[in-house]
Amino acid sequence: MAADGGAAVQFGNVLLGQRGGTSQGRLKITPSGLTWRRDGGGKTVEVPQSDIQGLYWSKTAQGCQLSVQRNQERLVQLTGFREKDLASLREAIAPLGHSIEEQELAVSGRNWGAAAVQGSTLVFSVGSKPAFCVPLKDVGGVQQAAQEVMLEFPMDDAATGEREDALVEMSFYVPKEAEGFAG
Amino acid sequence: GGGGDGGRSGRRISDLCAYKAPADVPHARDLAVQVDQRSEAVLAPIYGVMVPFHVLTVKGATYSADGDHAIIRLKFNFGPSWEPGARHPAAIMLKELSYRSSDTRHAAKVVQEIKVLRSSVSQREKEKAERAT
Repeated sequence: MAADGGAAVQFGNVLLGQRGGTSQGRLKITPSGLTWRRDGGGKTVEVPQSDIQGLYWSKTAQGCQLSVQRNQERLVQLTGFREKDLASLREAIAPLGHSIEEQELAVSGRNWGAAAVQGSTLVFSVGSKPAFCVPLKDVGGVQQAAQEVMLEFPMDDAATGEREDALVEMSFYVPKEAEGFAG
Repeated sequence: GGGGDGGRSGRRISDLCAYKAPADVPHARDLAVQVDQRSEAVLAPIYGVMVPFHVLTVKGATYSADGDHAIIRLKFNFGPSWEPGARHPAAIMLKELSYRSSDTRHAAKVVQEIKVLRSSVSQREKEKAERAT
């Protein structure tokens, strides 16, 4: 899937994970950063090399996923890769001074675990594995009660397809004994 | 006595495992809330990935119409009186997920499926626990 174009390497059929589904596009990697561009135009996500905090590779039922954790901006979750893309992605990422860490996602189906904020991302883990990640930049409102944290997601920018459900609210039970949820 | 705090009677909720590996999660054509009857799991889309929740973690599912849209609300079990909460008092628990769906028929159908699966699995587990005592 990767095609060499000078210093740039491109991957097609890459889906950008959003609150309300995904949209399909192309990922371009150059030594100065990553750019995902929606097929047919409309939306571009640019990640400069300096904003990359970590890169993670996970297998999912929707294909392989590359998560780009950032210092300043929202987490970028790209899916639709094939297993064999990892080698060419690693090669393309190397000039950026980063490596890709393989990370197995939790699929045990449990709803209890730990939550931690990493950069601009909320990671909910079950056991030692992440179950899901939420870009905190997307959170429109946070409500906190005694033992509850509720995250609200605004509706406006949702590019939700007809057959997709858009996440609008997520709440957690946070007992007094819990650690790490510095929401 | 009837089930109570575990003992030898049946499996504990805290030992639940819907899938062993990510490859076992069924591929979803659409990023919409759905049910996997075989693994007794609810699959909920969170940022492009289908995240599984065993149906025994689900406390309830509701559907409400919102104009030409529908809201699907998934409520999960939580708290110290729930067996996993008693075993893991410091655990943070996902309590609720809400989705806005533009397909009201799908929303009503999936909520019904979750309710039916939830009650049949809970009933089976209850009977199993009773037989074990």
